Amino acid sequence: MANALLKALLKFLSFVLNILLTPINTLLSTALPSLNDSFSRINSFFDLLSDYGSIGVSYLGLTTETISIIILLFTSIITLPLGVHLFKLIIKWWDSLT
Amino acid sequence: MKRFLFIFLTLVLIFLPKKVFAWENIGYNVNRMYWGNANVSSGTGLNTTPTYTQETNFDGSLALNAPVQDNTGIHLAFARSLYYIIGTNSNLIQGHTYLITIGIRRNNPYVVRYVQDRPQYTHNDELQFLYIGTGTSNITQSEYSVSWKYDQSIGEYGVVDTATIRVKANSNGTGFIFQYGNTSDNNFMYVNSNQGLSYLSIWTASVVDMGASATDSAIADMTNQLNDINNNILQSNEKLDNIDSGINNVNNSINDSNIDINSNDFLDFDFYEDNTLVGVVTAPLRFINSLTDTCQPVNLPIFNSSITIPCGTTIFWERQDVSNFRLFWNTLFGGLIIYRLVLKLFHVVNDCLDPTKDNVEGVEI
Repeated sequence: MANALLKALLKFLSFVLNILLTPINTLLSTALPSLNDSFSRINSFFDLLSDYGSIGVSYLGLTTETISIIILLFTSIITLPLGVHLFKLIIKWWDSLT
Repeated sequence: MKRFLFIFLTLVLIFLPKKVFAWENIGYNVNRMYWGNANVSSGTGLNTTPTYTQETNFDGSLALNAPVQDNTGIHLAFARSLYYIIGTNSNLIQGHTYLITIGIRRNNPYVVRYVQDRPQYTHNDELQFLYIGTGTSNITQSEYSVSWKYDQSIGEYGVVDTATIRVKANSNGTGFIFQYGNTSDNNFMYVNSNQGLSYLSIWTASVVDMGASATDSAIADMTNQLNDINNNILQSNEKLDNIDSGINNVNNSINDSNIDINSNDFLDFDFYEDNTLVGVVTAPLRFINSLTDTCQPVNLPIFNSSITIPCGTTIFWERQDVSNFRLFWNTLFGGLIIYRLVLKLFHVVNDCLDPTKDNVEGVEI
């Protein structure tokens, strides 16, 4: 249940981000292609990090279970405030509407 | 963090045994080892003409396709010389002692081996195999509980001039017995099989040249080693069974939609990587998600060549003798990280409950 909620929240945030940033992304790619390239480089850098991430973790000796727990906690720490404030924002909007 | 990294590296250096990179000298003059495969069921490798004669000798080499049956049971003849086992005798040296093992293998890791030392073997000698069982109790034991000692077969009976091996089907036809000696003897091994004689579909033979200077004690030590290997194989089989069971459990869990999964598909959704900006924002999440991926060795290009960096699990952490240390390490290092994260989570939750605080990761809403 918790997993499903967290997953849904992340999916929702990702979806909202995509909607919000798509026009800006289009504008950047057409008007400022160099800047767009630089963002692409950042993406490539993280992709490179991702390639080496698993091997780095393998040297730490942590088991999959431990890593999963750490990632779960880390993700919770990042997303929980977002979820709470999203909820607060919805209530605030609802209050202002009514 | 630096302190823990230092402690980690120190412990790895301490616990990294020499065995990781060094060969072990087992102390035998093993000059060469031959492996040969003979598919008995198709008649290749061994002599394909079954010229088996009754009981008194091994004048025959293939009887599995047509075992001879009489009132004492089903008789099975074995290869009469090493020539038929290893396929060539050109590498055998007269005057050397050869340790001969014959493996009977099915399509699973279970291996049964016959071992006999053959001092001063010459290729014209008949190879007379014998199996010595451990007692009558084996007849009721199942396939995976069969165990016997190599040193028993050699120590108790040594090399005999004439011998007969019988394969006797059991009463309900689900297995058969390898028997050596008189029918009244209890020198046998029981092999349980629901597939009858087709069980013996693959044979693997090996000949270890122990050199001219091999002594009886060296042979005995070698057989002890083989015995240990056999026991390890049996233990490995049990562990494989456990792994199979574990995999089945995991599969069942994956297919059960009611169970939460904390595997690497936790963040398995579209990151909208086509959108460059979204890619930048979700890059940390993608990186975190990649941490649970299965480690693959990395090729690091250095000038005109490349260096392959092996995984830490391969060279150290998956070793059997560091499993306990790994558990300790996970408890210590992983536990500390988890503790700090839980502490952080507590503060985060506490801040969320505080109505006066309205910030997310330092950004005021």
